[in-house]
Amino acid sequence: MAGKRGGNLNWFYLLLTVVVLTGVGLMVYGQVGRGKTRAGKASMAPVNLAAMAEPDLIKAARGVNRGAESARVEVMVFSDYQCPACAYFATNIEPQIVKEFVETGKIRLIAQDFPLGGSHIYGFLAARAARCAEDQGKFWEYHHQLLALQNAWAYSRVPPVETFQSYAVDLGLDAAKFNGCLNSDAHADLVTANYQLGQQAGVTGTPTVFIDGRQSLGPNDWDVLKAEIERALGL
Amino acid sequence: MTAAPADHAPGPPANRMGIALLALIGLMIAGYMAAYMLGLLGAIICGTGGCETVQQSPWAVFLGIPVPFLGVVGYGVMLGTALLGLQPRFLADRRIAAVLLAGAVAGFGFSAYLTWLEAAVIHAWCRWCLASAGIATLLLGCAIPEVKKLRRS
Repeated sequence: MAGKRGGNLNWFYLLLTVVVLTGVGLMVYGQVGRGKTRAGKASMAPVNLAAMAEPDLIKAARGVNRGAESARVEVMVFSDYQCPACAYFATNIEPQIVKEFVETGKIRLIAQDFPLGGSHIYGFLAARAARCAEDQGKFWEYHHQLLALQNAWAYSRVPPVETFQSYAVDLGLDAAKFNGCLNSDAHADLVTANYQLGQQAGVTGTPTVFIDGRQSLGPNDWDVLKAEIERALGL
Repeated sequence: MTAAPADHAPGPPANRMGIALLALIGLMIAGYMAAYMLGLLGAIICGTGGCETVQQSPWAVFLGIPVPFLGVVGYGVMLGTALLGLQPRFLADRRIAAVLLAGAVAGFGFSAYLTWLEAAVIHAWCRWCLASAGIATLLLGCAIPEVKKLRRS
């Protein structure tokens, strides 16, 4: 403790202690509240999109399927191509889902667009680019390329049109056709409809994963997601 | 300013108390961000908030070390040094003054760089990062009196 020359610091140490206790208290309170909010947002019951969305919206919105039509469970993933957590999902979680559940015919994976906007200014353009690749039958390859190489374009000062075009060339797409699609408003209505569908389903962040309409509580935690899929499969 | 009479014991230096208090708040903010980065505070997803964007951008890691961890170490050193500098035998120690001054200048410079990244490169604002930048600025202000101590001794 401080001696005579330094003055009595006890009150100051008490102040520091109060600050620590207040900070820890706020963090704990915040976490408890956050847990409640997360549990409140996460659908405890399946979402019936067909019943809640406008019929026209349902017609306009369309995800991209991967896996057998006869698969027992449907896993729908709403992503924003400029979202780092979606890049993590695409490079670390998705390959495991495909290997364990899609290729074995157990589930059907559906990619949906949910460009968040805000600071993710190129998310919408990227979603359209992926749909332009889908026109040539290479959606999943392009989807993976966009997310795996996200850092190469997500922080670009100018719209990364040329980068997107180079990915199309890398994947062997018809460049002229792809460029024509990207440099138009093609698929803007589709991406918008998918976004609106996500909003109606209660999507507020990405990636958001629905397993037979039930929202996953841990899309980027493989152990959690795998357990949820297995539960839906009755395993 | 007049010097305190020899028989009158001066109080603890207010600027060092300020540094300790600010560094403690900064330490808690950096600790919170580090826990978030480690995934201890729930699932990592992107929302419309800027903190996720900033935290998961390539600039959230500096020289291979996550920035929040650098914050924990930096604020921890400032807190420990300031508390040590409040002890009577270290009041006039030049090493304490040097560490506090260097730490404050480095922290301010690094925070300014990170704030510039948020504005010009990442295009997203994280309120916790901004709070930390504010603390780094106040820390620099509190550390300025240490220049005198460095010169005096």
